Amino acid sequence: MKDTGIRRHTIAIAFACAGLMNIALETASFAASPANYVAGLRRLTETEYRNSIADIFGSAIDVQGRFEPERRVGGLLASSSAILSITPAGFEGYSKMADRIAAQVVDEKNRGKLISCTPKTATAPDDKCAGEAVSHYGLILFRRPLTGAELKARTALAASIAKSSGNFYTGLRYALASLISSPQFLFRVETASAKDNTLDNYSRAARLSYLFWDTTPDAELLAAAQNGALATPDGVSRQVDRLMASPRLETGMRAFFADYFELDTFGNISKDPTIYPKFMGGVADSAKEETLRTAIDLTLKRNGDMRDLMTTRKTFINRTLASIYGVPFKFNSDWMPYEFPEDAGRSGLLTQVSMLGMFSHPGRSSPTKRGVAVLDIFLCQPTPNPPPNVDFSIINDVSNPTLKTVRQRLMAHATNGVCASCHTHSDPIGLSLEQFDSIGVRRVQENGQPIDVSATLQGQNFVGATGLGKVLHDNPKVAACFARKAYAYGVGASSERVSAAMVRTQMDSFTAGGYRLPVLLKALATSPQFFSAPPPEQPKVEQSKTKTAMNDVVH
Amino acid sequence: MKKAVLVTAMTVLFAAPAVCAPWVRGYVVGNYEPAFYYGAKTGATDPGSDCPKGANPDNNYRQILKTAWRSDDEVRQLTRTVTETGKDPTAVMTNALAHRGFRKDIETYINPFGAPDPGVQEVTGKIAEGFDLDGNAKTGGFTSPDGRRGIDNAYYRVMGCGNSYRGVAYQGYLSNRGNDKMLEGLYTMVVRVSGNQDPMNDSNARVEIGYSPDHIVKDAMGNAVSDYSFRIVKTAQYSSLKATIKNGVVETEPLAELHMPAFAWYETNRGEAVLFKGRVRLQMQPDGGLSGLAGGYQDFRMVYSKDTFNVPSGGQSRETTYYQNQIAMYYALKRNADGIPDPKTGENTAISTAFRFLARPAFVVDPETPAVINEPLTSDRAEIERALFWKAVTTGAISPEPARRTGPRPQPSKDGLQVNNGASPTVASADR
Repeated sequence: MKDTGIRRHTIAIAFACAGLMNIALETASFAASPANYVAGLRRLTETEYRNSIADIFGSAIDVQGRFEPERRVGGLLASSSAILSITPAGFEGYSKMADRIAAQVVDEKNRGKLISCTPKTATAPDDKCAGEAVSHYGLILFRRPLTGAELKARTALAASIAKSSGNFYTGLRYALASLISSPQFLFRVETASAKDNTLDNYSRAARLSYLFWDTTPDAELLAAAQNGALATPDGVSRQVDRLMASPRLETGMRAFFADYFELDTFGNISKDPTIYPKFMGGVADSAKEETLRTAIDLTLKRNGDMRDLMTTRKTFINRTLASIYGVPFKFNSDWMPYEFPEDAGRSGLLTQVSMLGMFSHPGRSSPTKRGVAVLDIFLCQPTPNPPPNVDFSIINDVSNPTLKTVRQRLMAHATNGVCASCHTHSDPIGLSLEQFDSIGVRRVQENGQPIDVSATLQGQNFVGATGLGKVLHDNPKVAACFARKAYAYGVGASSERVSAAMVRTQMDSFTAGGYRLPVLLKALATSPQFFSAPPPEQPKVEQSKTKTAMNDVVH
Repeated sequence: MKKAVLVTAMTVLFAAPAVCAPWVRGYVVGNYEPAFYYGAKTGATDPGSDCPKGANPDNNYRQILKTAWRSDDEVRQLTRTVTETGKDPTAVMTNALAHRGFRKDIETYINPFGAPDPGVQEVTGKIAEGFDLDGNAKTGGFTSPDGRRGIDNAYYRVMGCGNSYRGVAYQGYLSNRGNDKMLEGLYTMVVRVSGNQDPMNDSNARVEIGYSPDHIVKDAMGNAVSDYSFRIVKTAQYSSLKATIKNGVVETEPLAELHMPAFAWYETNRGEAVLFKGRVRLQMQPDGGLSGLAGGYQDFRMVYSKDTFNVPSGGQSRETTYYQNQIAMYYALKRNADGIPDPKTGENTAISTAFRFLARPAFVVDPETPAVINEPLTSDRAEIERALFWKAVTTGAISPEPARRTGPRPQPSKDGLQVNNGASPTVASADR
């Protein structure tokens, strides 16, 4: 419940930071009609923003600027979108981006195809034409029709600037920029009906579109919202089928998988070039792409069992990755499918450069980091941070003459009872992956000693990455965790707060359907829980402060 | 004792035969240069056993430009910018340097024999890398660092004291420059060794050496990254040689014409190197890499021609930038030519040469589809001048000077390579 309080508070902060009191007022009046309430705000992620702008104005429009950082909650960045606001500095960045975009839309090169009407004269205001453009783009930017006040405010802004500048398109540029920098665009404002505590149709359209396509709703989806089709299970089902049949589903699922596999971690890691000279520019991007291609190919293109992501030897490599995996590359295209031989010791995503590289130290592998990552990502079992006074000296001493392997050093380290409690969970997983170094290159020895990759996890003995892959494949918690995160991703909640009841029907379908992603997605998006939106509760402690902020904005 | 002998004998008799299976190893060359033995301790100019007087000094332009038909005052005017104003001499002396022959109208780069031999300091050391190309240990005059006698590397004798070439292996000025360019994508040379027995000992192996259209990729330390894949294309820069391998040392049989990528540091001097009676020796390294030596006879006229007429400014840039004297070089190459005699005159037309290289392990693959080849850039002027030189040197008659160059200079392409003067890239068939 705390999240909802934060969410409510965020509404106020976001609007206040934006400095667009009038617009906030309009929104509040839109959302706070007697039957509706704002159920949540979800700040667009960078990819959602970029995809939306490309869909609305065309891919030729250049989007340049800094985005506010995202934060991982419950294993997903998407979940943090519901509790993140925009700082004043961040808003300035979004404003500049909006202006650059709007300037491109109305420039001489683009206006002919992007502005559907022509003003009577280009040197004076034209309310009809400006209103038409603002109304058209307002609908797809705000993901709902503009209110009368919103339309009027922008049309007036366009007229005022057109008059002072003597240029119709300058006026329209600022009107469009105000739409693009508005919280109504930067945040997905999810409004719900007080009658049944479910999202209204436009909010449903946005939730579906961003889940399946990672972008703003298209015309058909908005029409389904407008004509009420999304209020019915049949109407929702038809739209879900349409969205899933589109090749754009791949874009949406790439965004989900990138978030789920925590591929953004690559942005925060580095490797020691003297130890890993092969980890040069381009490796991280290639590794991310490999993982995404593997996941999309298995779950969508081949409609395979999602659990096979733990065990498959099939992957996709480019010339860079071929070098790290030590295999020849064929030059027929930039990427080629590749299947590792059985004796390569590779097992699905667990042994891809991405997972092995992201969860390692700059100069050495880390069974603990790898184990923690597997527990967190695939089993939804987060590990608490180590206490601040931990002595890592034994683990870090890679030249210790008696403790030559990581296993030996970790065992010595774990004799400390405080450390042992966590290491006993994470380390067996990571130790089974020790035949791969910090960037994913296969090795069988460490400091001249053979690497022991035998391990025991929850009573199950296994050997190496392939053993771990099989154990995870058959562990029902892996599929359950996947379903829970898919739900959390779709609705913008923390996966740690998703109860079994919320995903029971989806999980049943997922299991019965052979753990196929399309089955899960359909079950998820057509379940009553997907559009459920209980009203946010006021946090008790901050009630007075929040109320003041809201009063400032709404009144 | 008898028992021990018996066990040994039985072990020999019944030992499992060596596993014979096809194998292949690929390499990409990351360092490449003429095999010039360096006899000093440090520095390009220091005296050493190779060049007791050190490297050749910078050119004395007043001396070079002094001819019977040019007055001292004219020479002073031409060289004034160098000695008095410190300006780039190329712009001022370009025309003058091309005219220093017996007559005023002789273009001396095209007709080097139309000027007197100014002489050059040659290598006097007795150690050189290379091959005994003529199979005669008494000729050649060099012994290799590992004790092989009769090493023929007369090209080293001519050029080894050159300021731009001299230095610790792979550290000379042009070597550094060439290797930097190679790593940045100027050209790629690959080697593939294959056999049917054992990579360390194979009596029937094969060595392929050639050009790859795929750029070298640098690792995080700036070296050619290991285990990358490269296509080997059977262009004019490709050769396949029969070889034997003993304890990791690969020796090829001689090939009438060994074609391979040329050592280059600039777009217009890359291309094919042709070594007559060419051969290759490779040493597999413990780290998985390879060191190599390729040798044979180069047509000395081609050596001169490619070196002199390959950049927009012609031989002048060699003289003003690299401290070479092209006329002296021509005479020295001719004087030291030691192979491939002309059937009519009996004069040697080629000079013994060796190149050395270091290579990293790589996957060298045949292209499955035709590969686009980035042909080396040349220019109309260079082609005209080479043709005029060739005519002059083969007929002994002075060739006329061509009209000054016109048209744009070659421009670098977006990927850092030079464009091919508008010519379409050649597409080589994989099975050519």
